[in-house]
Amino acid sequence: MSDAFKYTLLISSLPQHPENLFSVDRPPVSRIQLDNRLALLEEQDAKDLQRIERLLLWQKIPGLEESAVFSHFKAEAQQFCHPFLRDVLTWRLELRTLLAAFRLRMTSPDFDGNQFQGFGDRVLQIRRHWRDKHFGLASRIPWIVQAQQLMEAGESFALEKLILSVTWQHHLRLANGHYFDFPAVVIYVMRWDIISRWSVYQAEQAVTHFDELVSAGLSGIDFESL
Amino acid sequence: MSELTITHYFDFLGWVGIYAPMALGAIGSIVGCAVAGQAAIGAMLDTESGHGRYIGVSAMPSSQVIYGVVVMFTLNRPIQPDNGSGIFAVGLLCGLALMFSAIYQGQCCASAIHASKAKPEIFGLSVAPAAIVEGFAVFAFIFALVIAGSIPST
Repeated sequence: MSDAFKYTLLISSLPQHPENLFSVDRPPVSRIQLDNRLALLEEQDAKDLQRIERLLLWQKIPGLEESAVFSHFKAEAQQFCHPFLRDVLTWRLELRTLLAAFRLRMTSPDFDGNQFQGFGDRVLQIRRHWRDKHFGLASRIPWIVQAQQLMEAGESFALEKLILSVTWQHHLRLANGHYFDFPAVVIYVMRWDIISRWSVYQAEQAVTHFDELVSAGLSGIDFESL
Repeated sequence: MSELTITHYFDFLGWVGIYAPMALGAIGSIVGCAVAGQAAIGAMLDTESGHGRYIGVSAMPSSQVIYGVVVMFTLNRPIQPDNGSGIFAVGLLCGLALMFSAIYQGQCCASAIHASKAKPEIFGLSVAPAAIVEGFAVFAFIFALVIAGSIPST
């Protein structure tokens, strides 16, 4: 069977994601169920998926200096058998590079832009246009204008929402032409992660949902007989 | 090339031509039904109802092997030097058309099952591409029968 239809069973067994990220308050399938379905992946694909999830959810690698972090990610990216995964990782690292540049410029006004380090092809552009409001990238990356405004205004939640939205749209574009192959599985899991991340931001709904789950779990128990 | 070898050569072509529609149609149906069947099983894991129609759609690519069997019997006749190449050409080309139509129909069916699982109201429309592909298989089948009448039998 061709690679394009390698995971027909797996993809068909998963509920579809919504078109609009912010219209839902929880992922369409639980992590336990998702992991059960992902057991259908071949060994190498399962390892690659775990690795890219781990890398994309990365917040901080303790004990590693900045230069070591760059080499660590570059080495990890090279280990992926599938070029699609390398592209996914590179895109996310470039996004983080842009945000890191904004933060660094805000927190350290005296920082020499030529010393800036990051991932991707835009690092040189960022260094050259360090004093430019949008690093000279506004025409190529339209959302960067809004991101810069939100960051200056200290609107962390709105900025996070914008980043999630940009990532969501990017994954929607990547999904074009991938229906039942391994990249389709990766995109599904990436989008699941985004919804999961968004859902934890809604504290009130999370508490209500938790109460509902507890009530449902305890509904069949007769406490007086205990 | 000796007379005996030429006879064998045309015999070979003739038998390939007779059996090709059935064999290639079967290969196509195997692949097509396997892809669509996997989509149907996956959809059954995710839904509570409508399982029957998923299985029904996943069986659509099986018609090509039936067309292949009919064409095989239509082409089946004593093979001679003056009809071996004709049987070969009609049988092989018809078989290839049936095989590819079954494979791609299976992919259409898998997509239809996946789409209609999330939106049951589009089930009828989602099967339309698979039905169009079936139409091309019917063309190949019908005209193979028509053209087989022009191949000498004796």
